[in-house]
Order: sequence, then C-alpha cells, then structure tokens
Amino acid sequence: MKRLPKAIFLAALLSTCAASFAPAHAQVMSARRLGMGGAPVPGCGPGADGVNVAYHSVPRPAHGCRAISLPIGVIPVLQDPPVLDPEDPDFNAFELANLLMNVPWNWSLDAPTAPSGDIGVSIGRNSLAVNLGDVGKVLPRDADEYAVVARLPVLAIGYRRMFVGVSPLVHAENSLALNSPLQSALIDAEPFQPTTRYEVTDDAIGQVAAQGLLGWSQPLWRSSPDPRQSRTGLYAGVRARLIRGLAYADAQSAAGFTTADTLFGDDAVDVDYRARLRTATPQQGGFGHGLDAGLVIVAGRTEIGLAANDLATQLRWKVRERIVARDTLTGDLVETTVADGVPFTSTIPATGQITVTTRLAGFLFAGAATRDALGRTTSCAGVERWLGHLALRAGVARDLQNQTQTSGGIGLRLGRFGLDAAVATHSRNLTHERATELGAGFALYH
Amino acid sequence: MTSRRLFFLALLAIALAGCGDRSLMLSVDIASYLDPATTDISFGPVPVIPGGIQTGEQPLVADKTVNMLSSMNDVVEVENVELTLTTIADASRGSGVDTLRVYLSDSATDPRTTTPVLVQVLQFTAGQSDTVQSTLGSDPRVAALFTDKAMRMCVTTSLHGPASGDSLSGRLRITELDAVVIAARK
Repeated sequence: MKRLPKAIFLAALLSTCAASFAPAHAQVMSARRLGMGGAPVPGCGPGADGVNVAYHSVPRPAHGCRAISLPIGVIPVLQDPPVLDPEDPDFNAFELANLLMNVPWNWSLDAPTAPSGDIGVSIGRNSLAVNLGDVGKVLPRDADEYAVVARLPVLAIGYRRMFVGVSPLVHAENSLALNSPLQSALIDAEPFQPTTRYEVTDDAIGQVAAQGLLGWSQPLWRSSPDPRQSRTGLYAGVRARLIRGLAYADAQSAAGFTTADTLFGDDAVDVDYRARLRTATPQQGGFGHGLDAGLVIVAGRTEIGLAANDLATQLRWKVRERIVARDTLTGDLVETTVADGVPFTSTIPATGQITVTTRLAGFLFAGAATRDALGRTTSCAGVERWLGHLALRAGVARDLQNQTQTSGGIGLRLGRFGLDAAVATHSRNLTHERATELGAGFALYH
Repeated sequence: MTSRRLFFLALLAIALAGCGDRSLMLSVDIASYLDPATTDISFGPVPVIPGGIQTGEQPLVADKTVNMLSSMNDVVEVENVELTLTTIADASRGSGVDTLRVYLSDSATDPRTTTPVLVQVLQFTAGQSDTVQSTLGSDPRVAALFTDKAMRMCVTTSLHGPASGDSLSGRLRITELDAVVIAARK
C-alpha cells in the first residue's frame, strides 16, 4: 500500500488548528495601546480612520504622537527558528500552529505548553476508545468559528472633505464542528458506541478583492472654526467602495460514519464524505459595492467614536459549482462539476466599533467595544498617567473566550522622542492557555 | 482499507505529529474477537491408558482473523509489544497436562507455519484450579503484526491424559488474551 504522506497530516493539523482557533482578541502591535489593554488611542498611531471613517476629518490633538512599533518578537524566532521538517524529531506542529496564530511581533515571554502526554487507543471486537490526552483540548467542544476581514494598507489621497483610494480586501471565515458523539469520543475519551453517527462538519469561505474608495468626511458641527483652539464638535464620514472580485471559494463539507451493531465486526462502515464547493477565478469575478460609516463626537476632553463598516457589502461572481462525494464502489473521492458560470452574490459581514476616551484629573482613560464579522464582541479599557517624562499605563480586556486579560506598560519621553514598553497577557494559542508578551516601540511626539 | 480506519489513522497521525516524544499506547483485547465457545471448554472424560493419551496439537481457535486499525505502520513505529495470556485449568477428576500454543501471523501467512508466540503449560489436578498467566515480551515479528490492518491467529491445545488413577474431566478457560503495543511516530 502506498505510504500516507505525513505532509497531508501536517496540513490537516494546521488547517484544523487554524479552523479551530478563535482569536482571543486582535494582536496589538502598538506598545502604548498594548499597555492600555489594546484600547485605541485617537491621535496616536495609524489606522484610526481605517476603522472609523469620521476620524478623517477630526483634527489631530495638539499634543499627540505617532507610534512606531518594533517587531522584537522576531528576535527569539530568528535565534531559535521553528523546525519545519515533519521528519525531524524536534518538529512540533503545535508550536508551529501557535506561532502562526500569534505572529511574533511582540516578544513571547512564556510560550504556551504544547499538548503532551501519550495517546491511548483501546480496541476490542466491539469496543473502541481513543484517549488523545492534551490533544483533545485542541478540538472544539462547540462550533469553533474564525473570521477575519482585512483591509490592507490603503493608498489614499484627499482634497478637502473628499478622498479617494485603493486597497485590497480579504475576507476569510471558517466554522468547524464535531457532533455530540464525536466530541464525547475524542474530547472526553468516551468509548465509541454501536449504531451511532459520528460526524464533523466544516463551512469555509474565502474571498479576495480589490476596492476603490470614495470617501467623504466633515464636521457637522464645531465649537470653533479653528481646530487649534478647540476640537469639540460632531464629525461624520462615509466611505463608498467599488469592489472588484479577484477570487472566491466556499466549501460546505461533512464527513462521518455510522457504527454498526459491532464496531469491528465483519461489516465495514465507510466514512461518507460530501462537500459542495463554489469557486471563482479573477476572470469570473464581478463588481460589488460596500459602505462604511462613522461618527465622532468630541466634547472637550472626551471623545466618542461610532463606526459601522461593510454595511451591505456585496460582490457578484460567476461561480463554478462542484460536488465532492465518495464513490461507494471504489472508495475514492469523486469531484463532479454540476454547473459553471452560475451568478452568485457573496457578502462581507458588517463589523462595528465604539470607542471612548476621556482625560480626567491627569489620567487618560480609553475604552472600546468591537463587534467582529461573526457578531462576537470583545472589549477593552486602559488608563494612562504621565508623571513628568514617565508614563504609567494599565489595561484590561475581555476576549472571545470571555477570559480577562491584563496589561501594563511604561512610556519615557525625551523631547519629541519617546520609548514605550508594555507587558500583556493573551490567549491566542491552540489551547487558549494564558501567555504573556512584551511589546516595544518608539513614539514621535508633536 | 475502509475509510473509517483511515479516519482513525489520520487522527492518530495528527495527534502524534505534535512532538517527538509522544507515544501511542494501543491495547488490543484479542480475546474479544474469539467465539466464547472456543475460550471456555469443558472436556472429558479422558480415559486412563499407560503413558497417557497424547492428543497432539488440536486447534482450539482455528485461523481467526483479527481486524484492527489499518496502515498504522505508515505512521507509527512499534517500540514494544507485550502479549498476555491468562488461562484457568479446572479438573473435577483425574489429572493431566495441557499445552496451549498461540500463533500469530500476518494476513498472508498461515499462522500454524510460524513459531508460536506463547506456549503455556497447564496442570490439571483433581479438585484444583490452576491459573496460569504468560507474557510475551518484545518480539519484533509480533510487534509488526499489531500495526497492520489485520492479523491471523490460531490457538492450539495439546493434552497429555492420565496414565493412572481416574480419567480426566475438566474445564479450560481463556480469561485474558490481550496485547499492549507501545509505538511512536516514525
């Protein structure tokens, strides 16, 4: 029999890991924000108007800064690079998966423990039990969902209240679920039962597009015509997007089997696998549209931002529809194209964010609540206090696993130049184990 | 290879791929594959003759196929295997000696053409129960069998009846026949 290539198993592992990983909360690269629980700090650091288009017209604070984050996390990775060869005894797929989930921008102070312990399998004519040990913790007990909508750096130019730009758009979603009997068997190590259905399902979507942006943002009301005197006002912005689809794929797949009266009896029970695939190439990509909207209220030392992105974002495609199923005679997977050039409209789910910052008694308070593409909410809050040239920062965040993460940091300012450092906890790893990271960066004050 | 077995194989491979020192402990209850009628036998009376009756090797379990997880040998390398056989010999009357032999082979080989992996000698003594447990330690040929999709098994009995006294009546029970395989990823 032909050997089963380990690369397939590695790919399966990594895709399972990626699919089962629900990001705890987004990785924060700015050391200042990291020390404040990840809370956005308007006027200090890029990207504010990327999330809230209204910030395009909000004047920068008189004493703001630009943050330059340092990728210090690559140092230990370069010193001790991961083993990529599955044949190498030191190869550790779990560490590799954790590395992919937690891009080494910040320095990991304590790496999460790779699942350990032996694996036990007990076989009898009518019994089968699999004890995966710690590996079982990696498997999702509930449907594990992953979603990301990435709008990569924008090239934009503006004139007065209008601006135009281009940027790529990437949307990926995956939902992996084991049915209840399979969860019991693999996670709880309970024996497989006769005449029982065991099934795993996976729904995945990925689409890539290029988009042209046409935006408008202006103050609806301002207390003073001179922003240097007062930034107080009500600012609004909208950003229309004309989108050209470049690639699309979705797959709804299910694999499972039903055990017979006797698990290892004479009657073989095959895994039935079925999948429905839709794909589109750049030539099959059409146009679509999307809309972002934002509102910012600045009242003295308090700022409130409301952002809603990808409102009614849709893309049109001409997709190829295929069905993959197992041939009951040969046992091979057979792919059948059932239609080509079928009109199809994909959507990109809406996301939203509320940000609040205020300065009170010498403290800067910042907080944010974010709704992601799957409708899940994370929140964070932080505080900063300057004592001469030294800033002390602390923060707290509630991640997608409802775990509380904490952080602290310091900043040192020497004239227009500053240095920031922060330590924060997170659970961005396979087992959602709490880990600690160190972030660092420069700040240019103006 | 059935897909179900491929599923388990992939699962084990994924789990074992985690790190280098992870081991797979595979426990196979071989006795569960056997017909209870072949593992619990009452016999006798075996008559008394000078020198005692020599039955020669008689199959107790004749060439049984044991299906397991397919193609594990693609993923794992067996480090050790321990095979345990426990039997109970009861004699209601008479005495004698029985020799049990367990043969294991790959699915393409007649097990009786191989060397027995376990040989167990049982004493039948009137009114007494003799429990014997035999263990086979590491044997590369046997170890390799447990990572294949199936193996063949044969158990034979060879009775030496009483030469004097009462004729022999008794009961032979195989209460345990299992294997524990320790393997690591290749």
